[in-house]
Amino acid sequence: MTRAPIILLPVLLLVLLGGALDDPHDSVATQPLMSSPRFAAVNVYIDPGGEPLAAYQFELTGQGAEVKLVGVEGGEHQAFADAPYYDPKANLRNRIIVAAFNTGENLPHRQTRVATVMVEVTGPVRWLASLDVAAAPDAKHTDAAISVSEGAVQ
Amino acid sequence: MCDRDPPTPPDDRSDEALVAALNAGDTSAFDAVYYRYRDWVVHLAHRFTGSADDALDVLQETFAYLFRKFPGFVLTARMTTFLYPVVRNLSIAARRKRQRHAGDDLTLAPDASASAPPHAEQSRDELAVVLAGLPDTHREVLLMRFVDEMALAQIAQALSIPEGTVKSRLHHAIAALRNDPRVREYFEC
Amino acid sequence: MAGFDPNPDATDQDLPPRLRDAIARMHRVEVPVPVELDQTILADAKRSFLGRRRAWMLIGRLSIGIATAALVAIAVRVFVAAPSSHPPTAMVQPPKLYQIADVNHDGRVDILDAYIVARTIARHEPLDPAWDINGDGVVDQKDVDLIATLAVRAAREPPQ
Repeated sequence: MTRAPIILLPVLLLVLLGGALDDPHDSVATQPLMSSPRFAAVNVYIDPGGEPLAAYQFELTGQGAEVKLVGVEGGEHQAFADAPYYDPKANLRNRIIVAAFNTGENLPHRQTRVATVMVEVTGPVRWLASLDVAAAPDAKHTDAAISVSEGAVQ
Repeated sequence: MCDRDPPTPPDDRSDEALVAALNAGDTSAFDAVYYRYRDWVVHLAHRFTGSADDALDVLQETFAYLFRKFPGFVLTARMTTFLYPVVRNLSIAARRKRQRHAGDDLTLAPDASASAPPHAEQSRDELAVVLAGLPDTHREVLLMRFVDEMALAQIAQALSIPEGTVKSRLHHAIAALRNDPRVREYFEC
Repeated sequence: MAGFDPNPDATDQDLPPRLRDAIARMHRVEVPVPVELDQTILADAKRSFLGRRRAWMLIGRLSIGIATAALVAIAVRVFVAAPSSHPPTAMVQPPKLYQIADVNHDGRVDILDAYIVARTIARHEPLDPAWDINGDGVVDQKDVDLIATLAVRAAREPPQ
Protein backbone atom coordinates (compact mmCIF):
# COMPACT_ATOMS: atom_id res chain seq x y z
CA MET A 1 0.00 0.00 0.00
CA THR A 2 1.46 3.31 -1.03
CA ARG A 3 1.49 6.41 1.11
CA ALA A 4 -0.15 8.58 -1.53
CA PRO A 5 -3.78 7.78 -0.60
CA ILE A 6 -2.99 8.30 3.11
CA ILE A 7 -1.51 11.75 2.35
CA LEU A 8 -4.30 12.68 -0.01
CA LEU A 9 -7.04 11.69 2.45
CA PRO A 10 -6.55 14.57 4.94
CA VAL A 11 -6.18 16.99 2.02
CA LEU A 12 -9.46 15.74 0.61
CA LEU A 13 -11.12 16.08 4.02
CA LEU A 14 -9.87 19.63 4.35
CA VAL A 15 -11.25 20.53 0.95
CA LEU A 16 -14.62 19.00 1.79
CA LEU A 17 -14.80 20.55 5.25
CA GLY A 18 -13.76 24.01 4.05
CA GLY A 19 -17.28 24.70 2.85
CA ALA A 20 -18.83 23.75 6.21
CA LEU A 21 -16.83 26.39 8.06
CA ASP A 22 -18.11 29.37 6.09
CA ASP A 23 -18.60 32.60 8.01
CA PRO A 24 -21.42 34.64 6.44
CA HIS A 25 -19.06 37.61 6.52
CA ASP A 26 -16.50 35.78 4.45
CA SER A 27 -16.91 34.01 1.17
CA VAL A 28 -14.72 31.78 -0.93
CA ALA A 29 -14.99 30.82 -4.55
CA THR A 30 -12.59 28.62 -6.50
CA GLN A 31 -12.18 27.89 -10.16
CA PRO A 32 -10.91 24.85 -12.03
CA LEU A 33 -7.30 24.75 -13.09
CA MET A 34 -6.58 27.04 -16.04
CA SER A 35 -3.18 28.12 -17.29
CA SER A 36 -3.89 30.77 -19.95
CA PRO A 37 -4.91 34.34 -19.15
CA ARG A 38 -8.60 34.88 -19.10
CA PHE A 39 -10.90 37.73 -18.31
CA ALA A 40 -13.37 37.13 -15.54
CA ALA A 41 -16.04 38.99 -13.64
CA VAL A 42 -16.17 38.45 -9.89
CA ASN A 43 -19.70 39.15 -8.76
CA VAL A 44 -20.06 40.22 -5.15
CA TYR A 45 -23.40 39.85 -3.41
CA ILE A 46 -24.58 41.17 -0.09
CA ASP A 47 -27.66 39.91 1.67
CA PRO A 48 -28.80 42.47 4.29
CA GLY A 49 -31.38 40.08 5.67
CA GLY A 50 -34.40 42.29 5.22
CA GLU A 51 -32.79 45.51 6.48
CA PRO A 52 -32.23 48.41 4.06
CA LEU A 53 -28.62 48.48 2.92
CA ALA A 54 -27.33 52.05 2.79
CA ALA A 55 -23.56 51.51 2.83
CA TYR A 56 -21.18 48.63 2.33
CA GLN A 57 -17.47 47.97 2.26
CA PHE A 58 -15.81 44.68 1.44
CA GLU A 59 -12.33 43.33 0.81
CA LEU A 60 -11.68 40.93 -2.04
CA THR A 61 -8.51 38.91 -2.39
CA GLY A 62 -7.49 36.64 -5.21
CA GLN A 63 -5.20 33.93 -3.91
CA GLY A 64 -2.97 31.61 -5.83
CA ALA A 65 -3.05 33.21 -9.25
CA GLU A 66 -1.67 36.07 -11.25
CA VAL A 67 -4.50 38.58 -11.06
CA LYS A 68 -4.70 41.97 -12.68
CA LEU A 69 -7.44 44.41 -11.87
CA VAL A 70 -9.26 45.63 -14.95
CA GLY A 71 -12.08 47.59 -13.36
CA VAL A 72 -15.02 47.61 -10.99
CA GLU A 73 -18.64 47.97 -11.97
CA GLY A 74 -21.67 48.92 -9.96
CA GLY A 75 -24.39 46.58 -8.81
CA GLU A 76 -27.83 45.55 -9.96
CA HIS A 77 -29.93 47.69 -7.60
CA GLN A 78 -30.41 51.32 -8.55
CA ALA A 79 -28.95 52.41 -5.22
CA PHE A 80 -25.59 50.88 -6.10
CA ALA A 81 -25.66 51.05 -9.87
CA ASP A 82 -22.89 53.64 -10.06
CA ALA A 83 -19.29 52.50 -9.91
CA PRO A 84 -18.22 52.13 -6.27
CA TYR A 85 -15.15 53.58 -4.60
CA TYR A 86 -12.01 51.48 -4.97
CA ASP A 87 -8.28 51.97 -5.33
CA PRO A 88 -7.44 51.62 -9.05
CA LYS A 89 -3.87 50.73 -8.14
CA ALA A 90 -4.78 47.93 -5.79
CA ASN A 91 -2.92 44.70 -6.33
CA LEU A 92 -5.23 41.77 -6.01
CA ARG A 93 -2.46 39.56 -4.78
CA ASN A 94 -3.02 41.51 -1.56
CA ARG A 95 -6.54 42.77 -1.63
CA ILE A 96 -8.90 45.32 -3.08
CA ILE A 97 -11.29 47.26 -0.95
CA VAL A 98 -14.57 48.26 -2.56
CA ALA A 99 -17.16 50.48 -0.95
CA ALA A 100 -20.24 52.48 -1.77
CA PHE A 101 -23.17 54.16 -0.12
CA ASN A 102 -26.48 55.72 -1.02
CA THR A 103 -28.19 58.45 0.96
CA GLY A 104 -31.56 57.96 -0.74
CA GLU A 105 -34.57 55.98 0.36
CA ASN A 106 -34.72 53.41 -2.43
CA LEU A 107 -32.40 50.79 -0.97
CA PRO A 108 -32.10 47.03 -1.37
CA HIS A 109 -33.42 44.85 1.43
CA ARG A 110 -32.65 41.42 -0.02
CA GLN A 111 -29.60 39.76 -1.52
CA THR A 112 -28.27 41.93 -4.28
CA ARG A 113 -25.20 42.07 -6.44
CA VAL A 114 -23.46 45.20 -5.19
CA ALA A 115 -20.42 45.21 -7.45
CA THR A 116 -18.55 43.27 -10.08
CA VAL A 117 -14.77 43.25 -10.08
CA MET A 118 -13.38 42.75 -13.57
CA VAL A 119 -10.06 40.94 -13.64
CA GLU A 120 -7.54 39.24 -15.86
CA VAL A 121 -6.53 35.95 -14.29
CA THR A 122 -3.77 33.50 -15.08
CA GLY A 123 -3.96 30.22 -13.25
CA PRO A 124 -6.29 28.86 -10.61
CA VAL A 125 -7.57 31.46 -8.23
CA ARG A 126 -9.32 31.34 -4.90
CA TRP A 127 -11.48 34.37 -4.15
CA LEU A 128 -11.83 35.49 -0.56
CA ALA A 129 -14.29 38.23 0.31
CA SER A 130 -14.89 39.69 3.72
CA LEU A 131 -17.57 42.19 4.61
CA ASP A 132 -16.21 45.13 6.61
CA VAL A 133 -19.25 47.38 6.61
CA ALA A 134 -22.93 46.78 6.01
CA ALA A 135 -24.98 49.63 7.38
CA ALA A 136 -28.57 50.77 7.42
CA PRO A 137 -29.63 54.38 6.75
CA ASP A 138 -29.10 55.26 10.40
CA ALA A 139 -25.41 54.39 9.93
CA LYS A 140 -25.68 51.43 12.28
CA HIS A 141 -24.09 48.12 11.36
CA THR A 142 -26.48 45.38 10.26
CA ASP A 143 -26.02 41.65 10.22
CA ALA A 144 -25.45 41.00 6.54
CA ALA A 145 -23.80 38.19 4.58
CA ILE A 146 -21.46 38.40 1.61
CA SER A 147 -20.94 35.92 -1.18
CA VAL A 148 -18.96 35.87 -4.41
CA SER A 149 -19.15 34.00 -7.68
CA GLU A 150 -17.02 34.19 -10.74
CA GLY A 151 -18.51 34.43 -14.16
CA ALA A 152 -17.23 34.93 -17.68
CA VAL A 153 -17.14 38.47 -18.98
CA GLN A 154 -20.28 39.22 -21.01
CA MET B 1 -35.85 74.72 37.56
CA CYS B 2 -35.54 70.93 37.61
CA ASP B 3 -35.88 68.69 40.64
CA ARG B 4 -32.29 67.67 40.78
CA ASP B 5 -29.44 70.09 41.18
CA PRO B 6 -25.96 68.99 40.15
CA PRO B 7 -24.35 66.87 42.89
CA THR B 8 -21.09 68.84 42.64
CA PRO B 9 -20.48 72.59 42.87
CA PRO B 10 -20.83 74.43 39.55
CA ASP B 11 -17.65 74.48 37.48
CA ASP B 12 -16.44 77.96 36.59
CA ARG B 13 -14.36 76.92 33.61
CA SER B 14 -15.42 78.26 30.23
CA ASP B 15 -16.83 75.90 27.61
CA GLU B 16 -13.54 76.13 25.72
CA ALA B 17 -11.59 75.16 28.82
CA LEU B 18 -13.91 72.24 29.50
CA VAL B 19 -13.58 71.03 25.91
CA ALA B 20 -9.80 71.27 26.17
CA ALA B 21 -9.85 69.37 29.44
CA LEU B 22 -11.96 66.61 27.92
CA ASN B 23 -9.70 66.34 24.90
CA ALA B 24 -6.80 66.01 27.31
CA GLY B 25 -8.51 63.14 29.08
CA ASP B 26 -10.08 64.86 32.10
CA THR B 27 -13.36 62.94 32.36
CA SER B 28 -14.57 65.08 35.27
CA ALA B 29 -15.27 67.77 32.69
CA PHE B 30 -18.10 65.59 31.37
CA ASP B 31 -20.05 66.35 34.55
CA ALA B 32 -19.50 70.08 34.18
CA VAL B 33 -20.62 70.17 30.55
CA TYR B 34 -23.58 67.93 31.22
CA TYR B 35 -25.02 69.84 34.17
CA ARG B 36 -24.37 73.17 32.52
CA TYR B 37 -26.55 72.31 29.52
CA ARG B 38 -28.81 69.52 30.75
CA ASP B 39 -31.80 71.70 31.57
CA TRP B 40 -31.50 73.74 28.40
CA VAL B 41 -31.43 70.58 26.29
CA VAL B 42 -34.35 68.93 28.02
CA HIS B 43 -36.51 72.06 27.83
CA LEU B 44 -35.76 72.49 24.15
CA ALA B 45 -36.45 68.82 23.49
CA HIS B 46 -39.76 69.08 25.32
CA ARG B 47 -40.69 72.10 23.25
CA PHE B 48 -40.13 70.10 20.08
CA THR B 49 -41.58 66.78 21.15
CA GLY B 50 -44.35 67.76 23.53
CA SER B 51 -43.55 64.68 25.59
CA ALA B 52 -41.52 64.46 28.78
CA ASP B 53 -40.52 60.87 27.99
CA ASP B 54 -39.33 61.79 24.52
CA ALA B 55 -37.52 64.81 25.93
CA LEU B 56 -35.57 62.60 28.31
CA ASP B 57 -34.71 60.21 25.46
CA VAL B 58 -33.50 63.13 23.39
CA LEU B 59 -31.50 64.39 26.36
CA GLN B 60 -29.69 61.07 26.58
CA GLU B 61 -29.11 60.85 22.83
CA THR B 62 -27.90 64.44 22.60
CA PHE B 63 -25.21 64.01 25.19
CA ALA B 64 -24.26 60.60 23.84
CA TYR B 65 -23.77 62.32 20.48
CA LEU B 66 -21.76 65.17 22.00
CA PHE B 67 -19.54 63.03 24.19
CA ARG B 68 -18.78 60.61 21.34
CA LYS B 69 -16.92 63.46 19.69
CA PHE B 70 -14.19 63.41 22.33
CA PRO B 71 -11.25 63.35 22.13
CA GLY B 72 -10.69 65.55 19.14
CA PHE B 73 -13.74 67.80 19.35
CA VAL B 74 -13.22 71.43 18.33
CA LEU B 75 -15.77 73.92 19.60
CA THR B 76 -16.17 76.57 16.93
CA ALA B 77 -19.34 78.20 18.27
CA ARG B 78 -21.24 78.54 21.51
CA MET B 79 -22.27 75.19 22.92
CA THR B 80 -25.97 76.05 22.58
CA THR B 81 -25.42 76.93 18.92
CA PHE B 82 -23.78 73.57 18.39
CA LEU B 83 -26.39 71.63 20.36
CA TYR B 84 -29.48 73.30 18.96
CA PRO B 85 -29.63 71.45 15.62
CA VAL B 86 -28.66 68.20 17.34
CA VAL B 87 -31.57 68.47 19.77
CA ARG B 88 -33.86 69.60 17.02
CA ASN B 89 -33.06 66.71 14.72
CA LEU B 90 -33.21 64.10 17.47
CA SER B 91 -36.52 65.52 18.63
CA ILE B 92 -37.97 65.37 15.14
CA ALA B 93 -36.90 61.74 14.91
CA ALA B 94 -38.41 60.96 18.31
CA ARG B 95 -41.61 62.69 17.42
CA ARG B 96 -41.87 60.87 14.11
CA LYS B 97 -41.31 57.60 15.84
CA ARG B 98 -44.03 58.34 18.33
CA GLN B 99 -46.61 59.91 16.11
CA ARG B 100 -45.63 58.43 12.71
CA HIS B 101 -45.52 61.86 11.12
CA ALA B 102 -43.99 62.08 7.67
CA GLY B 103 -43.23 65.80 7.70
CA ASP B 104 -40.94 68.19 9.54
CA ASP B 105 -43.45 69.24 12.16
CA LEU B 106 -42.38 71.75 14.78
CA THR B 107 -45.83 72.35 16.18
CA LEU B 108 -45.71 73.77 19.66
CA ALA B 109 -46.49 71.40 22.48
CA PRO B 110 -49.22 72.45 24.92
CA ASP B 111 -48.02 73.92 28.18
CA ALA B 112 -48.11 71.10 30.71
CA SER B 113 -47.87 73.27 33.82
CA ALA B 114 -51.31 74.83 33.49
CA SER B 115 -52.37 76.29 36.81
CA ALA B 116 -53.28 79.95 36.43
CA PRO B 117 -56.21 82.33 36.87
CA PRO B 118 -58.93 81.93 34.21
CA HIS B 119 -58.12 85.20 32.48
CA ALA B 120 -54.43 84.38 32.32
CA GLU B 121 -55.32 80.89 31.17
CA GLN B 122 -57.43 82.25 28.33
CA SER B 123 -54.76 84.75 27.34
CA ARG B 124 -52.15 82.05 27.31
CA ASP B 125 -54.34 79.78 25.23
CA GLU B 126 -54.93 82.54 22.72
CA LEU B 127 -51.25 83.32 22.61
CA ALA B 128 -50.51 79.63 22.07
CA VAL B 129 -53.02 79.52 19.21
CA VAL B 130 -51.54 82.63 17.62
CA LEU B 131 -48.03 81.28 17.90
CA ALA B 132 -49.12 77.93 16.49
CA GLY B 133 -50.54 79.81 13.51
CA LEU B 134 -47.18 81.30 12.58
CA PRO B 135 -45.17 79.60 9.84
CA ASP B 136 -42.86 77.00 11.42
CA THR B 137 -39.72 78.79 10.29
CA HIS B 138 -40.87 82.13 11.70
CA ARG B 139 -42.01 80.65 14.98
CA GLU B 140 -38.77 78.77 15.42
CA VAL B 141 -36.67 81.91 15.07
CA LEU B 142 -38.98 83.78 17.42
CA LEU B 143 -38.61 81.15 20.12
CA MET B 144 -34.88 80.84 19.66
CA ARG B 145 -34.62 84.60 20.18
CA PHE B 146 -36.96 85.12 23.08
CA VAL B 147 -37.10 81.75 24.84
CA ASP B 148 -33.60 80.38 24.20
CA GLU B 149 -32.18 83.93 24.30
CA MET B 150 -29.88 83.34 21.37
CA ALA B 151 -28.30 86.20 19.49
CA LEU B 152 -29.11 86.64 15.79
CA ALA B 153 -25.68 85.38 14.74
CA GLN B 154 -26.09 82.28 16.90
CA ILE B 155 -29.50 81.58 15.41
CA ALA B 156 -28.09 81.96 11.92
CA GLN B 157 -25.27 79.55 12.69
CA ALA B 158 -27.48 77.01 14.43
CA LEU B 159 -29.92 76.92 11.53
CA SER B 160 -27.24 77.28 8.83
CA ILE B 161 -29.00 80.27 7.28
CA PRO B 162 -27.83 83.86 6.62
CA GLU B 163 -28.28 86.37 9.40
CA GLY B 164 -30.41 88.47 7.06
CA THR B 165 -32.84 85.59 6.76
CA VAL B 166 -33.02 85.36 10.54
CA LYS B 167 -33.86 89.06 10.78
CA SER B 168 -36.46 88.75 8.06
CA ARG B 169 -38.21 85.79 9.70
CA LEU B 170 -38.13 87.51 13.06
CA HIS B 171 -39.55 90.68 11.56
CA HIS B 172 -42.45 88.79 9.97
CA ALA B 173 -43.17 86.84 13.15
CA ILE B 174 -43.31 89.98 15.28
CA ALA B 175 -45.40 91.81 12.70
CA ALA B 176 -47.87 88.92 12.65
CA LEU B 177 -48.20 89.08 16.43
CA ARG B 178 -48.60 92.84 16.41
CA ASN B 179 -51.38 92.67 13.82
CA ASP B 180 -53.31 89.87 15.50
CA PRO B 181 -56.22 91.23 17.57
CA ARG B 182 -55.99 88.31 19.99
CA VAL B 183 -52.60 89.42 21.28
CA ARG B 184 -52.68 93.10 20.46
CA GLU B 185 -53.12 93.92 24.14
CA TYR B 186 -49.50 93.01 24.73
CA PHE B 187 -48.41 95.78 22.37
CA GLU B 188 -50.54 98.41 24.02
CA CYS B 189 -48.74 100.50 26.61
CA MET C 1 -25.76 80.54 28.44
CA ALA C 2 -26.23 83.31 25.85
CA GLY C 3 -27.47 86.65 27.17
CA PHE C 4 -30.15 88.68 25.51
CA ASP C 5 -28.70 90.76 22.71
CA PRO C 6 -31.24 93.35 21.49
CA ASN C 7 -30.61 95.02 18.15
CA PRO C 8 -30.86 98.78 18.83
CA ASP C 9 -31.31 99.53 15.12
CA ALA C 10 -34.63 97.81 14.58
CA THR C 11 -37.72 98.22 16.74
CA ASP C 12 -39.35 95.46 14.73
CA GLN C 13 -36.83 92.99 16.11
CA ASP C 14 -38.08 93.16 19.67
CA LEU C 15 -41.18 92.25 21.61
CA PRO C 16 -42.84 94.13 24.44
CA PRO C 17 -41.51 92.79 27.76
CA ARG C 18 -44.94 91.44 28.83
CA LEU C 19 -45.28 89.42 25.65
CA ARG C 20 -41.70 88.24 25.83
CA ASP C 21 -42.22 87.03 29.37
CA ALA C 22 -45.54 85.36 28.50
CA ILE C 23 -43.95 83.44 25.62
CA ALA C 24 -40.96 82.46 27.74
CA ARG C 25 -43.21 81.29 30.63
CA MET C 26 -45.32 79.27 28.22
CA HIS C 27 -42.30 77.30 27.07
CA ARG C 28 -40.43 76.83 30.34
CA VAL C 29 -42.08 73.56 31.22
CA GLU C 30 -40.70 71.62 34.16
CA VAL C 31 -39.25 68.31 33.04
CA PRO C 32 -37.71 66.53 36.02
CA VAL C 33 -34.62 64.59 35.11
CA PRO C 34 -34.21 61.44 37.22
CA VAL C 35 -30.87 61.26 38.95
CA GLU C 36 -30.49 57.72 37.60
CA LEU C 37 -30.60 59.12 34.07
CA ASP C 38 -27.93 61.68 34.95
CA GLN C 39 -25.72 58.91 36.26
CA THR C 40 -26.36 56.65 33.26
CA ILE C 41 -25.54 59.37 30.74
CA LEU C 42 -22.31 60.31 32.50
CA ALA C 43 -21.23 56.72 33.12
CA ASP C 44 -21.81 55.80 29.45
CA ALA C 45 -19.88 58.84 28.31
CA LYS C 46 -16.86 58.09 30.48
CA ARG C 47 -16.85 54.40 29.64
CA SER C 48 -16.93 54.87 25.88
CA PHE C 49 -14.49 57.78 26.08
CA LEU C 50 -11.92 55.67 27.89
CA GLY C 51 -12.42 52.90 25.35
CA ARG C 52 -11.81 55.29 22.47
CA ARG C 53 -8.75 56.74 24.15
CA ARG C 54 -7.26 53.28 24.51
CA ALA C 55 -7.99 52.55 20.86
CA TRP C 56 -6.45 55.83 19.76
CA MET C 57 -3.37 55.26 21.88
CA LEU C 58 -2.93 51.86 20.25
CA ILE C 59 -3.47 53.31 16.79
CA GLY C 60 -1.05 56.09 17.65
CA ARG C 61 1.65 53.62 18.66
CA LEU C 62 1.02 51.47 15.59
CA SER C 63 1.08 54.53 13.36
CA ILE C 64 4.38 55.66 14.84
CA GLY C 65 5.77 52.18 14.32
CA ILE C 66 4.50 51.97 10.74
CA ALA C 67 5.67 55.49 9.97
CA THR C 68 9.12 54.71 11.35
CA ALA C 69 9.32 51.50 9.35
CA ALA C 70 8.16 53.29 6.23
CA LEU C 71 10.75 56.03 6.68
CA VAL C 72 13.47 53.43 7.10
CA ALA C 73 12.26 51.55 4.04
CA ILE C 74 12.17 54.72 1.97
CA ALA C 75 15.59 55.75 3.20
CA VAL C 76 17.00 52.34 2.28
CA ARG C 77 15.29 52.47 -1.07
CA VAL C 78 16.52 55.95 -1.88
CA PHE C 79 20.06 55.76 -0.58
CA VAL C 80 20.96 52.09 -0.85
CA ALA C 81 18.93 50.37 -3.59
CA ALA C 82 19.56 50.88 -7.29
CA PRO C 83 17.34 53.39 -9.04
CA SER C 84 14.26 51.87 -10.57
CA SER C 85 11.61 52.97 -13.00
CA HIS C 86 8.92 52.10 -10.47
CA PRO C 87 7.60 55.01 -8.44
CA PRO C 88 8.35 55.15 -4.71
CA THR C 89 5.83 53.54 -2.43
CA ALA C 90 4.57 56.02 0.14
CA MET C 91 2.06 53.75 1.78
CA VAL C 92 1.57 55.50 5.06
CA GLN C 93 -0.88 58.33 5.39
CA PRO C 94 -0.19 60.90 8.08
CA PRO C 95 -1.92 59.61 11.23
CA LYS C 96 -3.59 62.99 11.80
CA LEU C 97 -5.46 62.74 8.49
CA TYR C 98 -6.92 59.40 9.49
CA GLN C 99 -7.87 60.80 12.87
CA ILE C 100 -9.79 63.63 11.22
CA ALA C 101 -11.38 61.33 8.67
CA ASP C 102 -12.63 58.99 11.41
CA VAL C 103 -15.87 60.92 11.62
CA ASN C 104 -17.71 58.51 13.89
CA HIS C 105 -14.67 57.99 16.13
CA ASP C 106 -14.78 54.22 15.99
CA GLY C 107 -11.03 53.95 15.54
CA ARG C 108 -10.95 53.34 11.81
CA VAL C 109 -11.65 55.11 8.55
CA ASP C 110 -14.21 53.29 6.44
CA ILE C 111 -17.12 54.03 4.14
CA LEU C 112 -19.37 54.66 7.13
CA ASP C 113 -17.44 57.87 7.85
CA ALA C 114 -17.98 59.07 4.29
CA TYR C 115 -21.62 58.05 4.44
CA ILE C 116 -22.29 60.01 7.62
CA VAL C 117 -20.94 63.21 6.08
CA ALA C 118 -22.75 62.62 2.79
CA ARG C 119 -26.01 61.90 4.56
CA THR C 120 -25.73 65.07 6.62
CA ILE C 121 -25.09 67.10 3.45
CA ALA C 122 -28.00 65.43 1.65
CA ARG C 123 -30.35 66.19 4.52
CA HIS C 124 -29.20 69.82 4.70
CA GLU C 125 -28.35 69.34 8.35
CA PRO C 126 -25.68 71.33 10.19
CA LEU C 127 -22.19 70.24 9.22
CA ASP C 128 -19.39 69.74 11.69
CA PRO C 129 -16.48 72.01 10.66
CA ALA C 130 -14.13 69.19 11.70
CA TRP C 131 -15.36 67.32 8.62
CA ASP C 132 -13.49 69.74 6.36
CA ILE C 133 -10.97 67.00 5.63
CA ASN C 134 -9.25 68.71 2.72
CA GLY C 135 -9.03 72.01 4.58
CA ASP C 136 -10.58 74.19 1.91
CA GLY C 137 -12.96 75.85 4.34
CA VAL C 138 -16.06 74.02 3.14
CA VAL C 139 -17.58 70.65 4.03
CA ASP C 140 -18.80 69.22 0.74
CA GLN C 141 -18.66 66.28 -1.65
CA LYS C 142 -14.90 66.69 -2.01
CA ASP C 143 -14.50 65.83 1.65
CA VAL C 144 -16.83 62.85 1.24
CA ASP C 145 -14.78 61.61 -1.69
CA LEU C 146 -11.54 62.07 0.20
CA ILE C 147 -12.79 60.07 3.17
CA ALA C 148 -14.02 57.31 0.85
CA THR C 149 -10.68 57.30 -0.94
CA LEU C 150 -8.88 56.83 2.35
CA ALA C 151 -11.29 54.07 3.28
CA VAL C 152 -10.59 51.98 0.21
CA ARG C 153 -6.90 52.69 -0.05
CA ALA C 154 -5.26 49.27 0.06
CA ALA C 155 -1.56 48.86 0.82
CA ARG C 156 0.41 48.74 -2.39
CA GLU C 157 3.12 46.21 -2.94
CA PRO C 158 6.66 47.58 -3.16
CA PRO C 159 8.24 47.25 -6.60
CA GLN C 160 9.88 43.88 -7.29
